[in-house]
Amino acid sequence: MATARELYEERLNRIKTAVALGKPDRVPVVPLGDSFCARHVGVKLSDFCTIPTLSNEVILKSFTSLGEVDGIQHASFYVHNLSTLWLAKLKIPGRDLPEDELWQVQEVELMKVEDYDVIIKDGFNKFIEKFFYDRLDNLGAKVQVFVESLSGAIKATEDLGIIPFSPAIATIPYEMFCGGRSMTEFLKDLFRIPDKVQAAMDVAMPEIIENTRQLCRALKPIAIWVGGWRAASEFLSPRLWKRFVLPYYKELVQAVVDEGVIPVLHFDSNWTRDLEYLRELPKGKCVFSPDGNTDIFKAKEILGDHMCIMGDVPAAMLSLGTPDEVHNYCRRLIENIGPSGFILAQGCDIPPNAKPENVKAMIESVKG
Amino acid sequence: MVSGFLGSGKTTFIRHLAGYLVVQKEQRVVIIENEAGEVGIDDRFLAREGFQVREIYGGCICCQLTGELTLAVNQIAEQFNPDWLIIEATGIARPSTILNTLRKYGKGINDIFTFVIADTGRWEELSEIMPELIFAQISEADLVIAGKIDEASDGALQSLMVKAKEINPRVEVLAASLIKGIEEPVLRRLLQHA
Repeated sequence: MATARELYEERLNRIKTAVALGKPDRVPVVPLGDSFCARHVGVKLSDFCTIPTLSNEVILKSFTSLGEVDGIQHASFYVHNLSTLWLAKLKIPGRDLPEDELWQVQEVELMKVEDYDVIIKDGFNKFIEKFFYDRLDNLGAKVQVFVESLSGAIKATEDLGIIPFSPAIATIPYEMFCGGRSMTEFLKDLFRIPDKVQAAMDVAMPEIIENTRQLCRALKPIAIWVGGWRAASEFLSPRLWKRFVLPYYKELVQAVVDEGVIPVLHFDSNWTRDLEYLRELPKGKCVFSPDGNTDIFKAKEILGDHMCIMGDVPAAMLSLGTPDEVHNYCRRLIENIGPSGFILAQGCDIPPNAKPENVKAMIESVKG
Repeated sequence: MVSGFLGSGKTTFIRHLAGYLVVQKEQRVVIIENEAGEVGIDDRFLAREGFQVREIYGGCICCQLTGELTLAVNQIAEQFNPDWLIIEATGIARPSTILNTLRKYGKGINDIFTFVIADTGRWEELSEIMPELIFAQISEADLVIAGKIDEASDGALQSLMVKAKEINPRVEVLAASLIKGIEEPVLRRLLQHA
């Protein structure tokens, strides 16, 4: 019987072969299922989302009980990390919602229009430090709980021979500003003061890049989560997407690749229109991870010889479908998107109400 | 299903429609609030006004919402068997994303009718910034309501009506202030469509 170390090496090799567009011995399966795992093992979402060490135990217990996974996308979960991505307040189970309801990012205007000037004048890091303290209830201190627990979560995962694939997160200024301003207000800004928005983005970007480089150097992950949903093609005209989204992703992705880390492009909502532009990202170094809204078969056609694709069993199928339906969809993915340059996973995140037998069917489908 | 971009006036519209159905028509109505974190003046005011409301939370994005929504629809059909189920769709989704899941997995649904609320004052701006989503919402609508007309110019209303017809020639467009209420003849007309 293989040791955990041998399993780890075998699975890492499988994943890295897929990322490099090669054909592994079989398609790897690397799920992400934060809230699902909590419900599956009977832990309240209120505890799961606020205690990172518990979330790591729960994620590992859930997935190892459902089959043989090659990796997990997140080694642990901490709800406050969502505020660092979208500069937004949250509704948290057990505090603002019933104990077992799913958390919710609040779509309110927390960042003011004057804040663009503050960023331009003082820089992004200085702005964000104050923003976290004043408007997000000392978020910097809260996030330390997660940061301090992360190396332990990564080790616990590796000790089981499982790859902690993309345990950290980064994104572009668009996602942050849009979340902080609220989508409604941010779109007004793009229409009314586009030059000022771009000036603030251009000040923020070098600091975000440097923060991401430091993160990669400190953590030395195999991959990191890079993405979001607000900058998806379906929410923005081509002209604005090419100005406010594409150049920033190109820069961020290149920095991550330069650090020897794989950027997992966790691109939620519909990006089909602009798939062609993702060919401008480094070949054989990234993973494109759509959520079921982008046409993954079109993605294969356009990106298949350029970028590994990961996905995309839809959330609704995992909640409402049958194991046969899930198995058949996964086999279709494995045979048509794979077997080279493909990693099997859910689209986005396995939802809390997914049926365990459906998740099991997804995990087992890689065996044939 | 009531669709339309964030801030277009969906909740206000639902308040008038549900009120009319419950009070004037004595119908059993359940409302599902399927928003993506959008917080209005009071995001619980429908429940406080005595309507039967089920709220659905979606994490950080709506990709997880459609399954939860369909499960809620099935549960409501079984437990309450209402005459009308009004779903407030998240403003950042195409109606078809939700409709396809409902049609595939939903139970107890006789028919689905899609209202799209368009913000007349911001029509030009939103059409330029996010044409694909706005046009998709119009093209998948059974009826478009040009809302917030008291905040918009006559030209903006005219432009919306012409463009909506171009996108979806079969759709009827009705204009309403929403905030000042909807007159009963208009409500009757809406329900004739549904």
